[in-house]
Amino acid sequence: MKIDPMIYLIDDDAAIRDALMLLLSLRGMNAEAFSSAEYALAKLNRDSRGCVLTDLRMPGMSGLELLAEINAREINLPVVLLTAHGDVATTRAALRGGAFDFLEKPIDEDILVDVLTHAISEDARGHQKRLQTETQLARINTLTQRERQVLTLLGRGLQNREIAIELSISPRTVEVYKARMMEKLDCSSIADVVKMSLLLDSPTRS
Amino acid sequence: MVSHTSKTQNPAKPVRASPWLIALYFVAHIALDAVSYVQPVLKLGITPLSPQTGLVLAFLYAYRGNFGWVAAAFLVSEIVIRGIPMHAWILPLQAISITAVYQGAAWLLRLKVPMDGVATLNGTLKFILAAAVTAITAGTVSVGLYTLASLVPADQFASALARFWVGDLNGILLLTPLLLRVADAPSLLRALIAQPGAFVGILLGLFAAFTLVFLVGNPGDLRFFYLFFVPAISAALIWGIPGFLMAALALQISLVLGVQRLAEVAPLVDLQFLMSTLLVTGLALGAVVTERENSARLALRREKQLRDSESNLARASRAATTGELASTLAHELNQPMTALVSYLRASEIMMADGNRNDARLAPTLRKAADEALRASDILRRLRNFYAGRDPQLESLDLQPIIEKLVEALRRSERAGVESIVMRMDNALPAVRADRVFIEVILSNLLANALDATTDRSNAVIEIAACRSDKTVLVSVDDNGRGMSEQIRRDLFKAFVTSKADGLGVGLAVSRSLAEACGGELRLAESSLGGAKLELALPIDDVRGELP
Repeated sequence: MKIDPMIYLIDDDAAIRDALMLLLSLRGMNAEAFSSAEYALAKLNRDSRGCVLTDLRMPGMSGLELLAEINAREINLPVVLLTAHGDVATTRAALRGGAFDFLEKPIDEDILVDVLTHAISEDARGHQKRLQTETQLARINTLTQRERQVLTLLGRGLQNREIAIELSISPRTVEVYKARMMEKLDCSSIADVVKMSLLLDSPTRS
Repeated sequence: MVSHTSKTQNPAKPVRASPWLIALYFVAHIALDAVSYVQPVLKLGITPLSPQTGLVLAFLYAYRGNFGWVAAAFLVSEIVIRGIPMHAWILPLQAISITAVYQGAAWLLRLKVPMDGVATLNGTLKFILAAAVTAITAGTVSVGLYTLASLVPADQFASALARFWVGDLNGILLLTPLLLRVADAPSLLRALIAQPGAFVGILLGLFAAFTLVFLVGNPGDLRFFYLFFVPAISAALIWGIPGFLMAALALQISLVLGVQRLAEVAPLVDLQFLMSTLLVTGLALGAVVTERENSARLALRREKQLRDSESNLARASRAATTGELASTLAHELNQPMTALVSYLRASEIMMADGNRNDARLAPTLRKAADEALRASDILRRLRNFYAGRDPQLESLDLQPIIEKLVEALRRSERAGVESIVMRMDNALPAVRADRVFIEVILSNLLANALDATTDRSNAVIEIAACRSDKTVLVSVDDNGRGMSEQIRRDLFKAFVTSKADGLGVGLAVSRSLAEACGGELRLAESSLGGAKLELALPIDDVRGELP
């Protein structure tokens, strides 16, 4: 199911929410406004797509705290922060905390749209990558014990004969396992196989 | 109000007297003895009046190593004034023993009852007690010697001792504090001048009492003596110890004159006993008054110190707030500005789409206008933050304020600051203004000048102060990029700025602050090619008009 990218706008100032919502809709962007970080967090989840555009200084949870919470919950949305003029220290903290970008108020609309577009495509790319990894991991999970061993050893750069010695089986049998494994993983070259073998070491799935 | 130094630490160590001072003492001792040689017992130096003893005690108290001189003065005055009696051997012995008593008294006073203490009730009572003991000791030694030498009949010992005692006591009580507290004289004089009515009244009172005691009625009748209490005690109540001592001195002199004026023997001894009573009462009362004055003055000084430090604190915290305020203000102003800009851009897009009849256009523009009003509201609040509080106008020397600001700029890391030039008139008159306001205005002007010259290699900023008629003009000039005609016209309006990152608030606020001080902030013709702003402040009338 494809979800439309959404801009989650968070600002405690009603006028700013209203104005930005209008502007974004005129620029053909989907946006949803929240008056506080807490309300936004209630709505956001791992399946949310798009980006977060939040004010830095708000009563209750601040923009920086929201950023940390989004990271902690692995919501995986790029966060763009709106800062007051000259707020260097906070800006630095925001970037170190993994913010996608920051914009100074008052906002230049062209830059705003540009940054948001980038953030959304970054999110889409990241999402795509995550999906792909998940598919590949699912495929790896279908491998038998022997096929998995062959994949690991191929990833280390061993030749068929060396693998045969390592596993105490004949090179012919190695060929069979290798062919079956590449078919299951939908790999057409040794380069693809090596890439897949890297996922074996990743801690995401054991 | 008479000021006293009421130190609690030990008095300064006694020093050696100069030869001139010793000579002066010597002459004064003999002169005092001579004028007070009235109604003696058997032509001996036993009189109810011995002001020289007060002088002796003060001299020995203040200077060291004068035992010989004092003994010699006693001896010489005895010979000069009373002639050599039959038993000449007794004179040096008597002079030495009396001097020994007074030397001991001076030593004890210094140790236990420093004369600085004669500004508190406790110290004064101790001093009175010490004076009484000293006088009785000296009297016993002196009259005892005369009795041993059979110069005084044994049956007259008691009355001679009483006569001697009261004379020495009054001499000490009156003259010793008077001489040792001579430093109080200038402040006492100021205090007397400050209350001329009381001064004249006390003189009249003394004169009236003198008339009643000595010129009217029976001279032996002492009923009127108590009238002397009125002026003397009044002086103690009004001016404390120094005032009382002056009144008592006048009283003592008038007693001597009055007694000498009478042909028959007047009861000077009785008068002196009454005088003792008056001296003790007046000293104790004067001490209470002086002590209260001193503690009131001390409390006042402490309070002033406290007030000063509090206002320094308030000033410091306000200065700190100014920085914090800038950040808060940036956020507060950015909110409506962000909304305003967004509404306007949205309107622009709606119109560019060729759909001029978009129903959202009119409300959007109205909302934009609302946001502009909201921004100006925030600015008004900022103005009230400074100008809304009543300016605390005080007499200010601008030079140190300017120097401090420039110094701070030089210390900061901003580029090109070595090029700040100060040009100030000598003897710049003080202005009447609020210190914080002036500091905010001048740092704004200097910050603007710095911003305008940052991209110049040979930046020059000149801050000048000079007098112009009834005002002091402080100008900040630079050779920066100057201002466009439009900026010039709207210079003091809020949100007008030529700076990329400016809010355009500084000059608008500065002008409000200048006007709150009764001054003016205006644009002047730059002589350096950049921009020049001129702050005119009224000269402080009280201090500024002095030549």
